Amino acid sequence: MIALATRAALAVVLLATLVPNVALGQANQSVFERVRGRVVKIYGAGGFRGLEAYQTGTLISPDGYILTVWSYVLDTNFIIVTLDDGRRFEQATLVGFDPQLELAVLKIDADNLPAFNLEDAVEAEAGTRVLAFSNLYGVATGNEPVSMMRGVVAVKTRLEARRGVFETPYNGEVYVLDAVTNNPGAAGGVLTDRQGRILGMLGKELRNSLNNTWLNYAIPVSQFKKTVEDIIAGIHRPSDTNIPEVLPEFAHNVRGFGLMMVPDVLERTPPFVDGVQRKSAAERAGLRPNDLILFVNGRVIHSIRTLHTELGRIDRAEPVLLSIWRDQRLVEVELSLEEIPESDQ
Amino acid sequence: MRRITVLCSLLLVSLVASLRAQDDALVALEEAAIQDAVDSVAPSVVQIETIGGVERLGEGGAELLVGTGPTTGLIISEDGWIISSAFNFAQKPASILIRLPGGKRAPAELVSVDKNCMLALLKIDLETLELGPLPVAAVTPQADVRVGQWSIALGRTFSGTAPNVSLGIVSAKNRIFGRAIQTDAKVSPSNYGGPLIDIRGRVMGVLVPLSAQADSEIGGVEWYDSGIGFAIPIDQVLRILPRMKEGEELQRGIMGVAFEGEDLVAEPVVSVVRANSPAFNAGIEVGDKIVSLNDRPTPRIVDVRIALGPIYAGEEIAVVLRRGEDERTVNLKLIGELEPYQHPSLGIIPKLLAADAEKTGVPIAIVLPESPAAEAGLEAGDVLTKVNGTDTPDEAALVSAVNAQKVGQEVTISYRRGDEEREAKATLAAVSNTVPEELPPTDIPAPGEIERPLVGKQTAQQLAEFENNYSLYVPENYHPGYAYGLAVYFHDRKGYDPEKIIERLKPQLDERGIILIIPESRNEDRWVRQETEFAGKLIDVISERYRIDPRRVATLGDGIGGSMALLMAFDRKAVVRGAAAVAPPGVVPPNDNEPSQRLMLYLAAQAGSERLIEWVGQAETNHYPVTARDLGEEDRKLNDEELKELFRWMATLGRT
Repeated sequence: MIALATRAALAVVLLATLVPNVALGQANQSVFERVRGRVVKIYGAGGFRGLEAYQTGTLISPDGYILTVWSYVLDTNFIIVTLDDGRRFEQATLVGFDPQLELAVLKIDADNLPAFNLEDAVEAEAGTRVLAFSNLYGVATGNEPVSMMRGVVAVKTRLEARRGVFETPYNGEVYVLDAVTNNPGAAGGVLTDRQGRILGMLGKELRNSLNNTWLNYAIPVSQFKKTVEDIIAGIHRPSDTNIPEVLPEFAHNVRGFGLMMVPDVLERTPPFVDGVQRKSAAERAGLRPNDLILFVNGRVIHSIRTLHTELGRIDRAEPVLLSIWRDQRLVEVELSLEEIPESDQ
Repeated sequence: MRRITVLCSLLLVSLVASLRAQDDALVALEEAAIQDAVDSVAPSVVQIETIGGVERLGEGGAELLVGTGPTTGLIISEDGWIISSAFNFAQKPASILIRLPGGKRAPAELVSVDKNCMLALLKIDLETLELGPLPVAAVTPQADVRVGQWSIALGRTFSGTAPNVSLGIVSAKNRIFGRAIQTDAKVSPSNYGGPLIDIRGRVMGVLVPLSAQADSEIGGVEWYDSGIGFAIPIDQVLRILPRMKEGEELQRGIMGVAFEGEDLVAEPVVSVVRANSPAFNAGIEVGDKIVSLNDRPTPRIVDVRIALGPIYAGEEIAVVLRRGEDERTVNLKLIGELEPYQHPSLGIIPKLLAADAEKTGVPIAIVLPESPAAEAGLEAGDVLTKVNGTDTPDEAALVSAVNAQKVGQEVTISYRRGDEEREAKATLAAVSNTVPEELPPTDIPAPGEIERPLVGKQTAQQLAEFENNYSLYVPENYHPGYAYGLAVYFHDRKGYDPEKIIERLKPQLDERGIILIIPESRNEDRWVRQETEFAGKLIDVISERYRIDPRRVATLGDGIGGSMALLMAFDRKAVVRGAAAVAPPGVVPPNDNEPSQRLMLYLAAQAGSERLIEWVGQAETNHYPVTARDLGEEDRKLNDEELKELFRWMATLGRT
């Protein structure tokens, strides 16, 4: 009996030394087991010329509402959704979509499905460990689970689509990720923290034209929760992304300040001041010929064309802060109109 | 008994539970540690905005643009010195503005560029800006960096107050021939110029794009975010900082020797000593074996390169040589540029033998008219066996033996004609730029019953990972017994019409035995420099599928495609042996000619283009053989006669 007890104790001690290694992997593994059932594989239109016909979706209700990206893959009457356990739904319904968020909600006819609750979403910061679940490259089929990736949040920032940097109408906050989630088929997948709590949805393949790199990112739940709820409730009206942004009725322009710029003949003509009209707002502010306009209200001006565009966004009643390059120094001036010029009334 | 089992199971379960909790606590600790490390260095990581100065290769709409986005820098000295990556300043911007911690924007001056390690040094004038000393982060020397430890790459290229973070480990040290720390954190234009730090918040290095293959300012960028990234160790940066502060442009240090062959693991036996180089002046001779460099043993060529990697022009090194039985030490001061190298040539085209053929000499396929070989009486069919007593069992040995001589030198050629062993004297000349009027017909075997890969026209093709399309034409007479030339044709603006292009070139391609690849640009109005990566991959893929003669790989192009053809050839001289441009709007300056890589150039242009005339002059100064053709006043492409000549030119690219 004693021998047995000793042996048992020894076994426990031995196992105890093994367990740490096992337990360290356990954390990620148990998150995986919990989350895998909530991520679905979506198949639809596409399949030629490099346009893959699949993407990923995330279950957000036990009765089958699925969150995914709005893309050409959904451009068919036969959207196929395959669950983690292999069950196939031949004709998922497209409940609604939002073109600005590039997000869509599907519905399949099922119940008691494992799902995320958007109410339980959490926020993350740069450096937070995250897990991404998606069917990148469509490697998983049937009842194979989707793929899991690990990384951290690189930074939380706005996409600034307005500047034409990213080819997406979405200009809200995103989590830029330090994990290569930007792969065919991954869009629509889910981003969670290391405990499996939902953080956001993996975005579509997107290129940062400022430095010609591909962007790995996810849209935080807080940015789309209301829209998704509205879509499900049937009251969502998608905003038309083709409507040009609302510009002020009376905006600033170069002429109004009395500024004459150098002739705009190059593809990106540097915005040098050629001349300043006497008794104009520009003269009052101290602008001089050969000044180079670098920033308008903090936004970089790469060319005369950009200068016109930026001024056209500012209401005439507002003052404009210019940063000027003059004689190897940075000078800040503020321009404002004392009254609306008669010629423009 | 059962009680014990139950007790044990309970113990186990509680152990697992507590360890799980510990495990999560550990990850939480790690996360917090990473956050703290980032926070402690963040104030020294600055955002740099560059304005203007985009490098244009053409006029009007035809140009290659570099990205205009913000980039990152690291404050390296509290009195206003900031280090960044040279990549960001490749376009020589007109204005550089640095956003300091606290949000203030300060203009900066580009003081110096280190072209060896791709670094750039900027200076802010703190006095005129009325700023106090800037925050500098703690550093750690490379000796203390260990492979496998945490490494965090920081950048500041997104809007907002936090730097962007990428997490990884240190993968290796002394990469790129002794210059860099390698990490698997994602390194890209999003963080070039920023610091690579350890988990204690100490800077290990400065992130830069580097490539073992390409040497240009953007070499290595194509590897961004790929799991391989590089940082120059901070102690290396601090070592060269005083010279950079003086405004010196730093270059890689060169000795002026070349070694036999391309095999990096061979012994470093000197095979070429460049005239008037530091090696020449220190008395190093052909045949010397380098034993050590600055007390670092160098048993292989790669060890010499690693020892030299982090050393700059202007620095002194001690070289220990073995000549015969003696060992001697020489000290020499490295320089940045050598007198342009000139390939000596006999004026023959060797026959391309199969890889497993017997190495008993080099048979001549063609003797170029009026060449040293022709004057020495050599004929097609002769097999060259020795040059000045050095055996030449195969083409590589022949090229190496000839390269070791100088233009104008008389050499004794030993050769075999039939059963007779003969000798002749020849005076080596520069590689000629003439195109023979006639060539012997190509000896493509008749098709017969053999297995062939796909031939003929193949359009609308794609490669995985690239969005560009391409088309391919393989002559119908393709036979794996003949090694085909490979031409990559870059089209002009809106000029991607594979049917038409293939129609036009087909007779020449069939006659000369050349496979044609036509890549398509993503934007029909321009080519982007990074698309050379796509073309390079195409060459690799096609070379695997078909039997290609590596000596006859050329890039061709019309208009902006011509600029692209030249660009790609200079970037990849190890693969591309000829570049032909017809009426390019702009041209890249030719880079240095190197002994182990040969490139021949062809340029056809309208009369009177000063820029192109200047370029031909530069190419000739660098001793590239340039064949130039005047297209007259008209804005036209090559006519039939000129096209035939172009392909004869291509057929004679393997000139030795």
